[in-house]
Amino acid sequence: MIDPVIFFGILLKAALLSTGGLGSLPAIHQDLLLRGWASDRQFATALAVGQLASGPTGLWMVALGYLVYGLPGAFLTTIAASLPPLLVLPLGQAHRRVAGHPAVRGFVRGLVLAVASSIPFVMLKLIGNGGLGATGVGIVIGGALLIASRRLPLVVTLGLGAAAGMALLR
Amino acid sequence: MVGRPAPCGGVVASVAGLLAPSAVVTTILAAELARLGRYPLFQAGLKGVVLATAGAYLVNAWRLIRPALVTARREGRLPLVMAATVCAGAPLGLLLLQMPVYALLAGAGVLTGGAVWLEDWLRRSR
Repeated sequence: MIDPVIFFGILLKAALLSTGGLGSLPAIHQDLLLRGWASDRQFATALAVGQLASGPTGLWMVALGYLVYGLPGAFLTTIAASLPPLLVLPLGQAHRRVAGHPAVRGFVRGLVLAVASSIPFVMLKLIGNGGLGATGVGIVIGGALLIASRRLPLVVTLGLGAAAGMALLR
Repeated sequence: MVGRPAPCGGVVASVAGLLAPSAVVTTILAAELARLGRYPLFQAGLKGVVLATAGAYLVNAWRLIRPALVTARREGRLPLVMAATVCAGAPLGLLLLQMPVYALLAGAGVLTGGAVWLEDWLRRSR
């Protein structure tokens, strides 16, 4: 049984400390899986929805909220995702005062590096639990090469991924 | 916007305007995908999207990591070593050692921040 207060607290904490986009993924993944409130499959579906839907990619959290806890989950997640941007002005002012300090520069860089290096592995773990296989690895590499080439927009790459999945992963 | 600036109201309106419609669309899409998820063909397509997303994020992660490493190298050996350690250690700590995410993030920030500060202090004191 999901406790809405704890659920909201987990999402808000992750959103507050997120570096944007999928930045909250490692924290939410760990917290919700630990409580048995979400499955890797729900995470995978939410990530796909987050990429396909309009608006900021951070809204994959809303899809996860819906998949895990229905409409109340989607509502609570939307509120949790909305609160951090409201702090942007006071935080921006405070950051401007200390941004030049070497320790602050290094601290922010450490956060970015830790999150950026962890997310691909968390994603591969949650989609690879049922066995990634050579085909899965091929789609990952294909997607990476298409994005790196900068020749196709993301949505086309994802469409090709869906087509490859339908053709090869059934 | 014309008239007296209202920073707080503006921030709230911007956030609501940006997030609310997208959140509704995302919820509808999630509901539809959850409904269609019963069909194996659709499930396979969804898995393909997630795999392609993972590939895209590998590239995006590198695009975030590379400039940070270049800056660290410019700052000195200690910040570079610490930045590389964080890059390699964070996924290991998270997935193999099951470290709590927030402790890992705080540790990464403190280690890298400490290294940059120490390098700066050493440079000044030379």
